Amino acid sequence: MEILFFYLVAGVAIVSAFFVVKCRNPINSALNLVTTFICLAVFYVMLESPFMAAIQIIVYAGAIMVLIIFVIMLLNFGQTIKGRYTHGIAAGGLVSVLLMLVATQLVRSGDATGTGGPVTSAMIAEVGHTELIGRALFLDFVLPFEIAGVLLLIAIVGALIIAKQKV
Amino acid sequence: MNQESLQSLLPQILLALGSTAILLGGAWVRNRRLWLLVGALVAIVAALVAAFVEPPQIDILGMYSASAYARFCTVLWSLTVAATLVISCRYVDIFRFGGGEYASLMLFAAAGMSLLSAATSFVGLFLGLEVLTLALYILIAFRHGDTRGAEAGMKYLVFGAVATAFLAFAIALIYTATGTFNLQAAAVGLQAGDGLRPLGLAGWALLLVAVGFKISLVPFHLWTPDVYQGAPAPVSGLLATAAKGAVLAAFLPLLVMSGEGIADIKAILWLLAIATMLVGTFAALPQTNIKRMLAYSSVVHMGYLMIALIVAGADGSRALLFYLVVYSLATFGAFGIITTFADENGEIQDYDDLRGLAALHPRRSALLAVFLLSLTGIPPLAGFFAKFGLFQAAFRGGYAELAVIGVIASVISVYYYVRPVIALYAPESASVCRDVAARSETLLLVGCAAVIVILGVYPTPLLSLVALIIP
Repeated sequence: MEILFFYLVAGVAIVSAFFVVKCRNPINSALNLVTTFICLAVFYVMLESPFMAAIQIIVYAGAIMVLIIFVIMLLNFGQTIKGRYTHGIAAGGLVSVLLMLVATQLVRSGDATGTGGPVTSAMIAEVGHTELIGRALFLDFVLPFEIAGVLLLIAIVGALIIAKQKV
Repeated sequence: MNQESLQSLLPQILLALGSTAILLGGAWVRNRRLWLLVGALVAIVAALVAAFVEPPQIDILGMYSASAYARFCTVLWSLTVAATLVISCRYVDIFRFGGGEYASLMLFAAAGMSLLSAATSFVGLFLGLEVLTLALYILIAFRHGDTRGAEAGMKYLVFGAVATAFLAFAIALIYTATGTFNLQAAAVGLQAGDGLRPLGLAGWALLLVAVGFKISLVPFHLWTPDVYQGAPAPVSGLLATAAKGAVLAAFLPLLVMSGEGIADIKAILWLLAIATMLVGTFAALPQTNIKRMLAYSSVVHMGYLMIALIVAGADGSRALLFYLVVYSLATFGAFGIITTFADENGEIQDYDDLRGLAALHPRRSALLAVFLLSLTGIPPLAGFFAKFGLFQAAFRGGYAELAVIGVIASVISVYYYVRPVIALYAPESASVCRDVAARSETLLLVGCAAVIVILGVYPTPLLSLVALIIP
């Protein structure tokens, strides 16, 4: 049953990803991209990582998607129809299939490293997924977290400098 | 995060906090020079702290190290940024930059560089590199209404974003193959010879692509001349010296300590080094714009430094550090002179505009000649000694072919380094630049030139310092 569900969602993900590239109207492409993101979120749920699924929906299908559609509307790309480029799709499809074969081969040929981390499935079930991520973020990785804050500060200052008028 | 690790991170924290303070202060007091000088002061204090305050622990949360090597790099980058800020004083007035923002971004870049070269884990490395490049994107496009600068910023942004994507993917693959973020463990883990080794090696190859973009090795160098030409001259100087040096410094310990694990990568490095030296040299020959010429020159010098990376070992590392210092001094000096020649009409870039400038500005012309000749490697200057050490290390390490190609490239380089000098000392004068340089600029550049001359004659202090850092 679960495997059937997986293939169903996978099929939708691949078809919608294909239409992201193929659609001639940018808005349609963007909407297809949302479908792909939601399918990926379903995969995360099936992999028992509900936190990632929620983040996927909130950040990607929500915030980033709004941003993309906003840019399309703002730059008035909505009306422009992309030209046909069947050759590009054929070449891209060929490369994707090749990459998929290579990736499967690589993943099948080797075992995982066996160096397991301290977090196990039992621990996730007991403590909870979000709590574990929160602890890792604010205890073990608090320094990178702070540096990422500096990174965002630089980005905000930069956006102001580039956008504002002469001093 | 305890007190010891905070204390060990003191130089970087000083840089970041100083930068934020300048940003805040700049909102109230709009005095460009003041903030630039405060920024330079903060950078110098950070350098002094890094040099003389013994950190209580070497390992900082498994992300960064406070080893002698990392602290040496912090001192180097902080001083470069301080010098860049001092040299920019007149420049920011001419082009009406926001002084507080400029100084704070420079300090953020310094913090990024020192984090980058102190990184011991991929997480730390990635964040350091991002802080550095994000600050640089903005600094490159800092001049308002300058289309070339905007173009340069855009190019660097697009190339940089692609490089970041490569780096992120590389880290993911290496993590898959080895199960660790620690740089040394990741390199050692590859030796295991298990089934995931190809995946790890693919990750290392992607990592090389990302590094190649950042330090502009040859197949990935195409952005370099356009960005250097379009960016403000002091920023180009920073891009060519500390920004590249920090990336190199981050990867040097990696290649030196990893040993057998990534021996397969060395063949690619070997090819990259040869391509970088030769293509860079031949692309520099026809240039008639001094900033573009210096861009290709930086490409060629990165090729020389790749030799040291390949040789690895204590020999190669020492040669690399010595070379990096000398190269940075000369390149910073050359871009500094271009900065001092700038006036309301823009910067002097074409050789035609340089013609006969020596008659008007004999001191600065002589300094530019010294810097360019040091980059060439003419004997009494430090550039010669640095190149000598590098090629000697290559011969000892069994890479004679690389040394020979390096020597050939340096011989050809005489042509493109001497061309602007000949233009400077041409009898007729085409230039209209009559601006007088500020005293601080002249003093700083004279200091740079003096260090180059002294190190060329008496290199022992720097050599023994480098030997102290890399035992």
